[in-house]
Amino acid sequence: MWRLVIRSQKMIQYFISITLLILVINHSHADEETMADIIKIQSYFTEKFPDVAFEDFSNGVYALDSIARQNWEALEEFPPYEVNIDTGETLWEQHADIYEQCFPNGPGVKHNYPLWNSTLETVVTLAMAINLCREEHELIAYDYMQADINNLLAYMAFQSRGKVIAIEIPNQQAKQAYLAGKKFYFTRRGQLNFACQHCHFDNAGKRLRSESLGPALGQTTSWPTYRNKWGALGPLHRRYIGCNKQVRAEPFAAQSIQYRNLEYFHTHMNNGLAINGPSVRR
Amino acid sequence: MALLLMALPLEGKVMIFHFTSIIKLILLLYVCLSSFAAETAQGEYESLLMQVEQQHKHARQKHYAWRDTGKKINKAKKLAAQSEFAQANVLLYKALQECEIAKKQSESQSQLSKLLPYYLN
Repeated sequence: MWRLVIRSQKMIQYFISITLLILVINHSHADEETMADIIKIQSYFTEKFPDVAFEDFSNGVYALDSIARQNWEALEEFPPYEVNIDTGETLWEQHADIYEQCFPNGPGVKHNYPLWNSTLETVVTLAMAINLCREEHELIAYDYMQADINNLLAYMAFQSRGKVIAIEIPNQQAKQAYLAGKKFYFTRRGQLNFACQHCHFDNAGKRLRSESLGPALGQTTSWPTYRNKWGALGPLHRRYIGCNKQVRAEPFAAQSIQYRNLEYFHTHMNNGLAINGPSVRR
Repeated sequence: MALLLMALPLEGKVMIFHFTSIIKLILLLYVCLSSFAAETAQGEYESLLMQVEQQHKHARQKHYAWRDTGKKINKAKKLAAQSEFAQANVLLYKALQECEIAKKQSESQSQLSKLLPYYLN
């Protein structure tokens, strides 16, 4: 009888150690693959644009187009998003006690988002985290496309300026979300049969009508962004919607799982670059 | 018509009789054919709409729908409401074609390993 108990205990120990070993192997494998992606993507752009310093990629297309950069720098002297930052600060202060609970190191935490939430088993963006926090404390969630959440995001991004992006892929589930985002990025869609990659990898730096195409590297550092085309400050997902429409594909909703996974992949490749949002773009 | 009348070797009332009966016959044929064509276009519209809506629904569920397919379907519905079935069918055929090409596009893009460019492999 005792032998049987001891044997079953040993079996359990073996089972636990094998499971742990598999988890460790899987975790390191996930790290290896995603780390390899970062190295490949970053070296692709640094080799493609050898005159551009790595840190400068966080300025998006203005790292490549010197004339556009001059205009942009002139705009940044009296930026149109200043009001948004001030309004965002007011919104933060209104419920500072709540937000400080949800974002202990806040408000400058943008460099850690999007992150994998093991409880919800999904990618959580900063905008989604704000709404989850509000709902948890019985406040009404913001509309993702409206001004309030973007003002708050602008304030949080402003407080995060200079902090280096450090997106983590902690487990296999997170890696699956990362891969889903990666697949989205390289999938041709819409009537024009374009993938994101065709503009922002292969043809980055080239002209599309009067505009230069921005490189994928550094595209997520400056959000929320005041776009002259919109005449307002808007979130990254609004730009995703615009991109999908431009290739004549049916867009997804802001903060849909597709766009959150895409943002996860899109931001992960920028690990090592500094946050410089909010910003101005054409 | 004038040639037909000249060819008829008849005179007076007989010729007039023939002329009016031919006109009636043509009118009758025209009415029959046009109503038949309208009915055919309407029937075609109904079956096409069902087919297109089904394919478009699938495209949206599987996330490969194109931007303007839904717009074409809605425009076709508006035209059909004004009994413009022939024009509505033209739009529905375009929408159907879009759904079919979008499906092929989606099927060709199913494997990530095949999508990655050389610099990421």
